[in-house]
Amino acid sequence: MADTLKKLKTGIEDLFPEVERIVVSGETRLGDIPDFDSMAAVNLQTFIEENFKVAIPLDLLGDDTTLKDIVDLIENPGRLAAAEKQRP
Amino acid sequence: MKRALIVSTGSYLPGNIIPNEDLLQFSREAQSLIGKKTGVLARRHAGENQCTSDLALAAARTCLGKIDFLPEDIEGIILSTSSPDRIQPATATRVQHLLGAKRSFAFDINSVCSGSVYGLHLADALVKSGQYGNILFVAAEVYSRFLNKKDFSTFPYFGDGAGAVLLQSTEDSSRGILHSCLATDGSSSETICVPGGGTMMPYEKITNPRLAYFRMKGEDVLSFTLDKGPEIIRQVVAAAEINLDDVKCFICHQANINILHGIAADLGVPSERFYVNLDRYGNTASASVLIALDEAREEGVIDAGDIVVTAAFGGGLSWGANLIRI
Repeated sequence: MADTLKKLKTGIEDLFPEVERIVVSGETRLGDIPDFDSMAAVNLQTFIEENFKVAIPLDLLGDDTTLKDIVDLIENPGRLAAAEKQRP
Repeated sequence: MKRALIVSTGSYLPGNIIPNEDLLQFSREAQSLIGKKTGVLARRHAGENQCTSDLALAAARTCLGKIDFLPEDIEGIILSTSSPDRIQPATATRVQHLLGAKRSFAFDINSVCSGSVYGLHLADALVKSGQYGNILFVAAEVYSRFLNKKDFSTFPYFGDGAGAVLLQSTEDSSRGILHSCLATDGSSSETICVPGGGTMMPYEKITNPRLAYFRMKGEDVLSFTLDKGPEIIRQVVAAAEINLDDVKCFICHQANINILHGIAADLGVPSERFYVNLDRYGNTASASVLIALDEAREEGVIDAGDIVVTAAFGGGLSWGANLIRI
């Protein structure tokens, strides 16, 4: 968990240079990140796929998604599959 | 009264066609969003050994070749680009040399995506002054060189290309560039920018490679263009004392199909009267209006005597429009 979160935070700091204005933690919502929008969600999706080999659908990377939620999806393929089933 | 008449146009698009499906750095899900969000289906990228002046030169040669105009008769070259060959000297100087326009001065302007309408107004003013009999105005961009290939908020929407127009002095006051309106709001200069590489953030102070790439705040750009696009078009039409119905074709900056449809709806003009080629080329920044103008002429969409409005909006923020009787 800690390693995944650390790697994810590093990626977010690289993707969003303006993030240095806030303290990033597991509780940080994607919507709290400066300049995060639907386009930036694709960049995050690409980063996750490249670095964790996990394909998270874009609608699971919304404003209310926390970094901890993403770590859960990365580390628990079963939760990702369940979340995908619940998609409209 | 002297007018600046567009006597020829030209364009050049590199042969390297890249459809959305070839953007393999993004997921299939993301690829499918590109067309939905912007209407862009493909773009052209310059070859590895091509730089901005090469594209400008090709467009200029096409423009001059159509009317057998000799390069040595060109009196001035203005080149619009926000992706120059180098920080200095001006990209226009290489075009002047390779074109063989020995009598011509040459310099660059940079008003980002609005450069087309700014350059048309500047060239028009020089011709109207009576000091110059003709001006070759070229707009050329190679954005692919400073876009981050992994940045979905910029990379898929831009392409490389160049357009050119030759403006010549005429005593026929009914034709040519009849009116232009330009505007700038420098308080929003962060909305579209390349943060690093200039004097504000020299190369040695770039802490994150992303700061050397082009970036834009897409949602802010969308609301800016939907606000200022219709406003500047109404302004230029009113200044020329004509009606929107008198305009045969609106040639706007090719950024996003939803912007073009939004401007058309705001003006109450059928979107069919807005020329579109962004599906094939993406956003070619300041070159887009001149490429579209050339294609509209070649396709017979506009002809001699037709009234055309060109409009563009972009970094600065800047925006503007020209009203032209072809």
